[in-house]
Amino acid sequence: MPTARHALDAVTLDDVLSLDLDRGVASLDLARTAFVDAYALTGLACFVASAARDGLVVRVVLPEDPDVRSWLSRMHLADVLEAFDVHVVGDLPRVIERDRRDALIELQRFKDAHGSDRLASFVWERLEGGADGEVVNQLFEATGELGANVVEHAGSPSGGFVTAQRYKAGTSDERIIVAVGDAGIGIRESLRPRFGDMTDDTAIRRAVQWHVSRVPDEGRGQGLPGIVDGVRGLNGTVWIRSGVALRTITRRRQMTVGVSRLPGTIVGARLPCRPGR
Amino acid sequence: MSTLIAPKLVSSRDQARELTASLPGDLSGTVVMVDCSALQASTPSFVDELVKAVLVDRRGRHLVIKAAPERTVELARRAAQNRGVGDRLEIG
Repeated sequence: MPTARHALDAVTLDDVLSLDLDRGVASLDLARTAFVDAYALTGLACFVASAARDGLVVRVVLPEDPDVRSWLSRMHLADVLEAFDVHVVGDLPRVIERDRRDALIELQRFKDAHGSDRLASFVWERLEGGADGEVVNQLFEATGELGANVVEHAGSPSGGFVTAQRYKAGTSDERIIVAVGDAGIGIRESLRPRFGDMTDDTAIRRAVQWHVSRVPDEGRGQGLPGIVDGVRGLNGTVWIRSGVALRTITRRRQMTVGVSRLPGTIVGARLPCRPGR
Repeated sequence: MSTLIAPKLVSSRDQARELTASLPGDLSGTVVMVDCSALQASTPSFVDELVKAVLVDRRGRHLVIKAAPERTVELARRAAQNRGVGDRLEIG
Protein backbone atom coordinates (compact mmCIF):
# COMPACT_ATOMS: atom_id res chain seq x y z
CA MET A 1 0.00 0.00 0.00
CA PRO A 2 1.41 3.41 -0.89
CA THR A 3 2.32 5.59 2.07
CA ALA A 4 3.10 8.86 0.34
CA ARG A 5 1.09 10.75 -2.22
CA HIS A 6 2.34 9.65 -5.55
CA ALA A 7 1.74 9.64 -9.27
CA LEU A 8 0.41 6.55 -10.97
CA ASP A 9 1.84 5.68 -14.37
CA ALA A 10 3.12 2.66 -16.32
CA VAL A 11 5.97 2.07 -13.89
CA THR A 12 4.14 2.72 -10.59
CA LEU A 13 0.82 1.07 -11.46
CA ASP A 14 1.65 -1.99 -9.33
CA ASP A 15 1.80 0.16 -6.20
CA VAL A 16 -1.99 0.26 -5.89
CA LEU A 17 -2.93 -3.26 -7.05
CA SER A 18 -3.20 -6.26 -4.74
CA LEU A 19 -4.73 -9.71 -4.83
CA ASP A 20 -5.81 -11.79 -1.85
CA LEU A 21 -6.65 -15.08 -3.50
CA ASP A 22 -7.40 -16.80 -0.17
CA ARG A 23 -10.21 -14.33 0.43
CA GLY A 24 -11.03 -13.97 -3.25
CA VAL A 25 -10.54 -10.22 -3.21
CA ALA A 26 -8.80 -7.93 -5.69
CA SER A 27 -8.04 -4.48 -4.29
CA LEU A 28 -7.20 -1.24 -5.91
CA ASP A 29 -6.11 1.32 -3.35
CA LEU A 30 -5.97 4.81 -4.79
CA ALA A 31 -6.25 6.59 -1.44
CA ARG A 32 -2.84 8.31 -1.59
CA THR A 33 -2.78 8.79 -5.33
CA ALA A 34 -2.07 12.32 -6.46
CA PHE A 35 -2.16 11.77 -10.22
CA VAL A 36 -3.20 9.01 -12.64
CA ASP A 37 -1.97 9.11 -16.22
CA ALA A 38 -3.75 7.64 -19.24
CA TYR A 39 -1.67 4.46 -19.22
CA ALA A 40 -2.38 3.79 -15.54
CA LEU A 41 -6.09 4.46 -16.00
CA THR A 42 -6.24 1.90 -18.80
CA GLY A 43 -4.30 -0.49 -16.55
CA LEU A 44 -6.78 -0.01 -13.71
CA ALA A 45 -9.64 -0.93 -16.05
CA CYS A 46 -7.78 -4.05 -17.22
CA PHE A 47 -7.11 -5.07 -13.60
CA VAL A 48 -10.78 -4.69 -12.73
CA ALA A 49 -11.92 -6.63 -15.81
CA SER A 50 -9.43 -9.41 -15.17
CA ALA A 51 -10.33 -9.78 -11.50
CA ALA A 52 -14.06 -9.75 -12.22
CA ARG A 53 -13.60 -12.41 -14.91
CA ASP A 54 -11.75 -14.59 -12.41
CA GLY A 55 -14.68 -14.33 -10.02
CA LEU A 56 -12.90 -12.17 -7.47
CA VAL A 57 -14.63 -9.50 -5.46
CA VAL A 58 -13.16 -6.22 -6.64
CA ARG A 59 -12.76 -3.47 -4.08
CA VAL A 60 -11.67 0.04 -4.98
CA VAL A 61 -10.62 2.73 -2.53
CA LEU A 62 -10.93 6.09 -4.23
CA PRO A 63 -8.35 8.88 -3.90
CA GLU A 64 -8.51 11.14 -0.85
CA ASP A 65 -7.65 14.10 -3.06
CA PRO A 66 -10.92 15.55 -4.40
CA ASP A 67 -9.20 16.82 -7.55
CA VAL A 68 -8.04 13.33 -8.43
CA ARG A 69 -11.51 11.93 -7.73
CA SER A 70 -12.98 14.56 -10.01
CA TRP A 71 -10.50 13.71 -12.73
CA LEU A 72 -11.29 9.99 -12.49
CA SER A 73 -14.97 10.85 -12.71
CA ARG A 74 -14.30 13.06 -15.75
CA MET A 75 -12.42 10.17 -17.37
CA HIS A 76 -15.49 7.95 -16.91
CA LEU A 77 -13.90 5.41 -14.56
CA ALA A 78 -17.32 4.99 -12.96
CA ASP A 79 -18.65 3.35 -16.14
CA VAL A 80 -16.08 0.57 -15.83
CA LEU A 81 -16.58 0.16 -12.09
CA GLU A 82 -20.31 -0.14 -12.63
CA ALA A 83 -19.98 -2.53 -15.57
CA PHE A 84 -17.94 -4.95 -13.49
CA ASP A 85 -19.98 -4.55 -10.30
CA VAL A 86 -17.08 -3.19 -8.27
CA HIS A 87 -17.40 -2.38 -4.56
CA VAL A 88 -16.27 1.23 -4.25
CA VAL A 89 -15.15 2.87 -1.00
CA GLY A 90 -16.01 6.54 -1.38
CA ASP A 91 -17.88 8.39 -4.08
CA LEU A 92 -16.88 9.68 -7.47
CA PRO A 93 -18.35 13.16 -7.75
CA ARG A 94 -20.53 14.24 -10.62
CA VAL A 95 -18.53 16.69 -12.69
CA ILE A 96 -19.57 19.17 -15.32
CA GLU A 97 -17.96 17.99 -18.53
CA ARG A 98 -16.78 21.15 -20.18
CA ASP A 99 -15.54 20.55 -23.68
CA ARG A 100 -12.00 19.21 -23.64
CA ARG A 101 -12.26 17.24 -26.86
CA ASP A 102 -8.80 18.29 -27.95
CA ALA A 103 -7.21 17.31 -24.65
CA LEU A 104 -8.52 13.92 -23.65
CA ILE A 105 -10.26 10.74 -24.65
CA GLU A 106 -12.12 9.30 -21.72
CA LEU A 107 -11.70 5.66 -20.74
CA GLN A 108 -13.64 3.69 -23.31
CA ARG A 109 -14.35 0.05 -23.91
CA PHE A 110 -14.52 -1.72 -27.28
CA LYS A 111 -15.37 -5.29 -28.17
CA ASP A 112 -15.02 -5.78 -31.91
CA ALA A 113 -13.28 -4.49 -35.04
CA HIS A 114 -15.97 -1.88 -35.62
CA GLY A 115 -15.43 -0.61 -32.10
CA SER A 116 -11.69 -0.52 -32.70
CA ASP A 117 -12.17 1.35 -35.99
CA ARG A 118 -14.43 3.85 -34.31
CA LEU A 119 -11.88 4.51 -31.59
CA ALA A 120 -9.02 5.04 -34.05
CA SER A 121 -11.20 7.52 -35.94
CA PHE A 122 -12.20 9.10 -32.65
CA VAL A 123 -8.53 9.61 -31.77
CA TRP A 124 -7.96 11.27 -35.13
CA GLU A 125 -10.99 13.54 -34.91
CA ARG A 126 -10.22 14.60 -31.35
CA LEU A 127 -6.50 15.17 -31.71
CA GLU A 128 -6.32 16.57 -35.24
CA GLY A 129 -4.95 20.07 -35.00
CA GLY A 130 -3.85 19.55 -31.41
CA ALA A 131 -0.45 18.19 -32.41
CA ASP A 132 1.80 17.90 -35.45
CA GLY A 133 0.26 15.88 -38.26
CA GLU A 134 2.80 13.09 -38.01
CA VAL A 135 2.03 12.72 -34.30
CA VAL A 136 -1.72 12.51 -34.85
CA ASN A 137 -1.11 10.04 -37.67
CA GLN A 138 1.09 7.90 -35.43
CA LEU A 139 -1.52 7.92 -32.68
CA PHE A 140 -4.20 6.94 -35.20
CA GLU A 141 -2.08 4.05 -36.45
CA ALA A 142 -1.24 2.96 -32.92
CA THR A 143 -4.84 2.97 -31.75
CA GLY A 144 -6.00 1.13 -34.85
CA GLU A 145 -3.29 -1.52 -34.71
CA LEU A 146 -3.50 -2.06 -30.96
CA GLY A 147 -7.28 -2.20 -31.06
CA ALA A 148 -7.10 -4.78 -33.85
CA ASN A 149 -4.61 -6.82 -31.81
CA VAL A 150 -7.07 -6.91 -28.91
CA VAL A 151 -9.91 -8.02 -31.16
CA GLU A 152 -7.91 -10.56 -33.17
CA HIS A 153 -5.36 -11.97 -30.76
CA ALA A 154 -6.11 -11.15 -27.12
CA GLY A 155 -8.91 -13.59 -26.39
CA SER A 156 -10.40 -11.05 -24.01
CA PRO A 157 -14.12 -11.59 -23.35
CA SER A 158 -14.38 -8.14 -21.83
CA GLY A 159 -12.89 -6.56 -24.95
CA GLY A 160 -10.36 -3.78 -24.66
CA PHE A 161 -9.96 -0.35 -23.12
CA VAL A 162 -8.45 2.84 -24.45
CA THR A 163 -7.61 6.18 -22.87
CA ALA A 164 -5.71 9.21 -24.13
CA GLN A 165 -4.76 12.54 -22.70
CA ARG A 166 -2.73 15.58 -23.68
CA TYR A 167 -0.51 17.03 -20.95
CA LYS A 168 1.26 20.32 -20.37
CA ALA A 169 -0.71 22.07 -23.08
CA GLY A 170 0.86 25.23 -24.36
CA THR A 171 4.34 24.39 -23.10
CA SER A 172 7.37 23.16 -24.97
CA ASP A 173 6.93 19.85 -23.11
CA GLU A 174 3.40 19.29 -24.40
CA ARG A 175 2.77 15.57 -24.92
CA ILE A 176 0.08 12.98 -25.51
CA ILE A 177 -0.27 9.56 -23.93
CA VAL A 178 -2.53 6.96 -25.49
CA ALA A 179 -2.95 3.48 -24.04
CA VAL A 180 -4.82 0.38 -25.17
CA GLY A 181 -5.22 -2.64 -22.90
CA ASP A 182 -7.10 -5.87 -22.42
CA ALA A 183 -7.56 -8.66 -19.88
CA GLY A 184 -6.89 -11.45 -22.35
CA ILE A 185 -4.29 -14.19 -22.72
CA GLY A 186 -1.23 -11.96 -23.05
CA ILE A 187 1.52 -11.89 -25.67
CA ARG A 188 3.31 -15.03 -24.45
CA GLU A 189 0.23 -17.21 -24.74
CA SER A 190 -0.69 -15.65 -28.07
CA LEU A 191 2.70 -16.52 -29.58
CA ARG A 192 3.16 -19.91 -27.86
CA PRO A 193 1.33 -22.15 -30.38
CA ARG A 194 3.64 -20.95 -33.15
CA PHE A 195 6.86 -20.08 -31.33
CA GLY A 196 6.84 -22.35 -28.25
CA ASP A 197 7.33 -21.61 -24.57
CA MET A 198 9.12 -18.45 -23.59
CA THR A 199 9.16 -15.87 -20.82
CA ASP A 200 6.92 -12.82 -20.92
CA ASP A 201 9.98 -10.63 -21.50
CA THR A 202 11.10 -12.76 -24.44
CA ALA A 203 7.57 -12.73 -25.84
CA ILE A 204 7.45 -8.94 -25.76
CA ARG A 205 10.90 -8.71 -27.37
CA ARG A 206 9.75 -11.03 -30.14
CA ALA A 207 6.44 -9.26 -30.64
CA VAL A 208 8.20 -5.98 -31.46
CA GLN A 209 10.21 -7.65 -34.22
CA TRP A 210 8.92 -7.37 -37.79
CA HIS A 211 6.83 -10.26 -39.12
CA VAL A 212 6.40 -12.00 -35.77
CA SER A 213 2.73 -12.94 -35.38
CA ARG A 214 0.70 -15.87 -34.17
CA VAL A 215 -0.85 -15.86 -37.67
CA PRO A 216 1.45 -17.52 -40.25
CA ASP A 217 0.98 -14.95 -43.00
CA GLU A 218 3.75 -12.93 -44.63
CA GLY A 219 1.87 -9.65 -44.21
CA ARG A 220 1.32 -10.05 -40.48
CA GLY A 221 3.45 -8.86 -37.61
CA GLN A 222 3.68 -5.21 -38.61
CA GLY A 223 1.50 -3.53 -36.03
CA LEU A 224 3.58 -3.49 -32.88
CA PRO A 225 7.00 -3.06 -34.53
CA GLY A 226 5.55 -0.27 -36.66
CA ILE A 227 4.31 1.49 -33.55
CA VAL A 228 7.67 1.11 -31.81
CA ASP A 229 9.59 2.40 -34.83
CA GLY A 230 7.19 5.29 -35.36
CA VAL A 231 7.10 6.39 -31.74
CA ARG A 232 10.87 6.12 -31.33
CA GLY A 233 11.32 8.11 -34.52
CA LEU A 234 9.26 10.91 -32.99
CA ASN A 235 11.32 10.77 -29.80
CA GLY A 236 8.52 9.17 -27.82
CA THR A 237 8.22 6.28 -25.38
CA VAL A 238 6.43 2.93 -25.67
CA TRP A 239 5.43 0.81 -22.68
CA ILE A 240 4.39 -2.81 -23.18
CA ARG A 241 3.16 -4.73 -20.16
CA SER A 242 2.15 -8.37 -20.48
CA GLY A 243 2.22 -11.14 -17.90
CA VAL A 244 4.97 -10.32 -15.41
CA ALA A 245 7.03 -8.04 -17.64
CA LEU A 246 6.97 -4.33 -18.40
CA ARG A 247 9.21 -3.20 -21.25
CA THR A 248 9.97 0.46 -21.78
CA ILE A 249 11.30 1.49 -25.18
CA THR A 250 12.67 4.89 -26.14
CA ARG A 251 14.94 6.10 -28.92
CA ARG A 252 17.99 5.61 -26.71
CA ARG A 253 17.20 2.61 -24.54
CA GLN A 254 15.07 -0.46 -24.00
CA MET A 255 14.63 -2.10 -20.63
CA THR A 256 12.38 -4.65 -18.96
CA VAL A 257 11.37 -4.73 -15.31
CA GLY A 258 9.43 -7.39 -13.46
CA VAL A 259 5.88 -6.54 -12.41
CA SER A 260 3.05 -8.39 -10.72
CA ARG A 261 1.14 -10.74 -12.99
CA LEU A 262 -1.60 -8.93 -14.84
CA PRO A 263 -3.37 -11.09 -17.41
CA GLY A 264 -3.57 -9.52 -20.82
CA THR A 265 -1.55 -6.76 -22.39
CA ILE A 266 -1.36 -3.00 -21.96
CA VAL A 267 0.49 -0.97 -24.57
CA GLY A 268 0.94 2.76 -24.25
CA ALA A 269 2.73 5.45 -26.20
CA ARG A 270 3.84 8.89 -25.10
CA LEU A 271 4.59 11.35 -27.86
CA PRO A 272 5.69 14.95 -27.85
CA CYS A 273 2.99 17.01 -29.59
CA ARG A 274 5.51 18.93 -31.64
CA PRO A 275 8.66 16.83 -31.92
CA GLY A 276 10.30 18.97 -34.59
CA ARG A 277 10.32 22.17 -32.56
CA MET B 1 -10.94 -1.34 -64.57
CA SER B 2 -12.68 -1.57 -61.22
CA THR B 3 -12.65 1.50 -59.03
CA LEU B 4 -13.01 1.60 -55.25
CA ILE B 5 -13.34 4.74 -53.15
CA ALA B 6 -11.42 4.79 -49.88
CA PRO B 7 -13.12 6.67 -47.04
CA LYS B 8 -11.45 9.35 -44.91
CA LEU B 9 -10.02 7.07 -42.21
CA VAL B 10 -9.35 3.34 -42.45
CA SER B 11 -7.80 1.10 -39.84
CA SER B 12 -8.83 -2.56 -39.56
CA ARG B 13 -8.42 -5.50 -41.90
CA ASP B 14 -12.18 -5.88 -41.74
CA GLN B 15 -12.53 -2.47 -43.38
CA ALA B 16 -10.28 -3.57 -46.25
CA ARG B 17 -12.34 -6.72 -46.68
CA GLU B 18 -15.53 -4.68 -46.70
CA LEU B 19 -14.08 -2.25 -49.24
CA THR B 20 -13.14 -5.09 -51.61
CA ALA B 21 -16.15 -7.32 -50.94
CA SER B 22 -17.91 -6.26 -54.14
CA LEU B 23 -15.00 -7.33 -56.36
CA PRO B 24 -15.22 -10.63 -58.26
CA GLY B 25 -13.30 -13.58 -56.87
CA ASP B 26 -11.00 -13.72 -59.90
CA LEU B 27 -9.43 -10.46 -61.04
CA SER B 28 -6.96 -11.93 -63.52
CA GLY B 29 -6.47 -9.35 -66.25
CA THR B 30 -8.29 -6.66 -64.26
CA VAL B 31 -6.82 -3.43 -62.95
CA VAL B 32 -8.23 -2.23 -59.65
CA MET B 33 -7.91 1.44 -58.79
CA VAL B 34 -8.43 2.69 -55.26
CA ASP B 35 -9.27 6.39 -55.24
CA CYS B 36 -7.72 7.77 -52.04
CA SER B 37 -8.59 11.43 -52.66
CA ALA B 38 -10.60 11.60 -49.44
CA LEU B 39 -8.25 9.43 -47.42
CA GLN B 40 -6.43 11.12 -44.57
CA ALA B 41 -4.96 8.22 -42.59
CA SER B 42 -4.58 4.45 -42.81
CA THR B 43 -2.93 1.70 -40.80
CA PRO B 44 -0.40 -0.91 -41.97
CA SER B 45 -3.00 -3.64 -41.40
CA PHE B 46 -5.62 -2.02 -43.59
CA VAL B 47 -3.18 -1.42 -46.43
CA ASP B 48 -1.72 -4.93 -46.20
CA GLU B 49 -5.18 -6.48 -46.32
CA LEU B 50 -6.08 -4.34 -49.33
CA VAL B 51 -2.98 -5.51 -51.21
CA LYS B 52 -3.66 -9.10 -50.20
CA ALA B 53 -7.35 -9.00 -51.20
CA VAL B 54 -6.67 -7.55 -54.66
CA LEU B 55 -3.28 -8.86 -55.75
CA VAL B 56 -2.91 -12.12 -53.83
CA ASP B 57 -6.35 -13.57 -53.09
CA ARG B 58 -8.02 -12.38 -56.33
CA ARG B 59 -4.86 -12.26 -58.47
CA GLY B 60 -5.55 -8.76 -59.83
CA ARG B 61 -3.39 -7.62 -62.74
CA HIS B 62 -2.54 -4.30 -61.12
CA LEU B 63 -3.54 -2.34 -58.06
CA VAL B 64 -3.43 1.41 -58.59
CA ILE B 65 -3.35 3.58 -55.49
CA LYS B 66 -4.47 7.03 -56.59
CA ALA B 67 -4.04 10.33 -54.75
CA ALA B 68 -3.06 8.71 -51.46
CA PRO B 69 -1.21 10.37 -48.58
CA GLU B 70 2.53 9.76 -48.60
CA ARG B 71 2.34 7.46 -45.59
CA THR B 72 -0.29 5.25 -47.25
CA VAL B 73 1.89 4.98 -50.36
CA GLU B 74 4.81 3.93 -48.17
CA LEU B 75 2.66 1.29 -46.47
CA ALA B 76 1.36 0.00 -49.82
CA ARG B 77 4.87 -0.37 -51.21
CA ARG B 78 5.96 -2.23 -48.09
CA ALA B 79 2.93 -4.54 -48.14
CA ALA B 80 3.34 -5.35 -51.82
CA GLN B 81 7.04 -6.06 -51.31
CA ASN B 82 6.34 -8.31 -48.30
CA ARG B 83 3.87 -10.30 -50.36
CA GLY B 84 6.07 -10.51 -53.45
CA VAL B 85 3.69 -8.52 -55.67
CA GLY B 86 5.56 -5.23 -55.83
CA ASP B 87 5.66 -5.33 -59.63
CA ARG B 88 1.86 -5.15 -59.76
CA LEU B 89 1.45 -2.10 -57.54
CA GLU B 90 1.16 1.31 -59.19
CA ILE B 91 1.07 4.66 -57.50
CA GLY B 92 -1.12 7.14 -59.37
